[in-house]
Amino acid sequence: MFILTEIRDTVALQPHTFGFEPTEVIARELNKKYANRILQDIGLVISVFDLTKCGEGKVRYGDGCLWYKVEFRLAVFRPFISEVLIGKVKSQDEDGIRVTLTFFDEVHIDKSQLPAPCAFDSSRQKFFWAAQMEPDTKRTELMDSPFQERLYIELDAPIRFRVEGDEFYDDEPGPPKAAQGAKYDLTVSKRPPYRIFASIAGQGMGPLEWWAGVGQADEQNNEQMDE
Amino acid sequence: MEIIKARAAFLSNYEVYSLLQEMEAKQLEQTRAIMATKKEENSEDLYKGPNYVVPEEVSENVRTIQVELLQYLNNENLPTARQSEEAVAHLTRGLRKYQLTKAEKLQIVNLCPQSVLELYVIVEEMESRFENDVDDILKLVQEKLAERSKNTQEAEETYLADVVDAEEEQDIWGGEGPSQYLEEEFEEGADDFEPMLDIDEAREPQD
Repeated sequence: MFILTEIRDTVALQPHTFGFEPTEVIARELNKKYANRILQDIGLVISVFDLTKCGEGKVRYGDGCLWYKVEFRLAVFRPFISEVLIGKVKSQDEDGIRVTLTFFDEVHIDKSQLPAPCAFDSSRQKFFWAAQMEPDTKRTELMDSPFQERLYIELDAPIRFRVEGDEFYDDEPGPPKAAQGAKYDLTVSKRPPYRIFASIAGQGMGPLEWWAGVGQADEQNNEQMDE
Repeated sequence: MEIIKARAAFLSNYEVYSLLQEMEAKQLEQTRAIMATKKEENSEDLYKGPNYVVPEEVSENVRTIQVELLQYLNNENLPTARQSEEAVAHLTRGLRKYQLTKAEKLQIVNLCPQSVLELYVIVEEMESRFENDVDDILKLVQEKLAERSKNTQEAEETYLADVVDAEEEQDIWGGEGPSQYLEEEFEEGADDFEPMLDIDEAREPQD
């Protein structure tokens, strides 16, 4: 779920911080710059893990700062493909489910990644899984299934999912072109800079309550078999 | 900014958790210092000398991620808050004898599977690869964790007593301790961490 990333950067320390231990101030400045930010193709930065190398502070012409060249390691949130994580259902619509991890909420589960057969109940605005039915049952048939047999995915329910992929999107507009002038195109929908695509198809995946007790039953069966 | 190595090593949830705990403790100290200086300033407006510095407050983005991530890791569905450095070390040492991949081991440490099903989700082709070991692995996961979940406070006290063991008081969240188990490519960074466990013993073998 978390990784370490090595980065090199130059940090300026303001004169009023000269009284402190430099490494602590450097770490604080780096945290200010990187924490809770998304680095392209790296992930969501949590905080500085440690400083590995630190040069001598140098004064440049023009300001009173001390400039340090530092190498440091960041703790970064970047789950690997096929990793299993636990989150909470944030919202759902016809296209799929969105999951939040409290500190990160761009986890998307497409409707094709739900356990089959699955359908969206628009009157309740929730997906449900009809575990008793055949996997290729049509939606109309699913909607006729008795309510007791439907397993709904509730809002805020803790959910276990598998990471299937992720995508970065650089939203930097780049330098404005002189011919266009300063114009903002508001029609382009904003894409999040980092998204995770997940799946809950398969044994043991999905809301935790679906599977509560199933493992224990398995365990007992195993024990019985052993005996 | 220049990226030297995008993925230098994996971190377990517990390592991140202890890093955040440590940061929070430090910030608390700083906040107290700030409060103290503010009080002083109110009482008399004096020149504090050339070496006097005003402590800075923690910036907002740091605080946000810290609080939200701690909230996530303290979630009852995750075992992180119930783990201890000793438990993680015990678990990684115990898992060594099974032919698990690094990613599988990391996830077992992160999620602490309680049932066969939860383990099945993490380990690929579990039935064929670990036909007879499943119960043993689950038992191993339980061992140190259960100790703390029964009565967290009581267990924590005994744990503290065990570790500190009449030595001088040490910060239990101190430094890089747990990172030694999962991180392999790195030498120790230059910091003031004092190992409280025998690290050589706890370290994973170099691949």
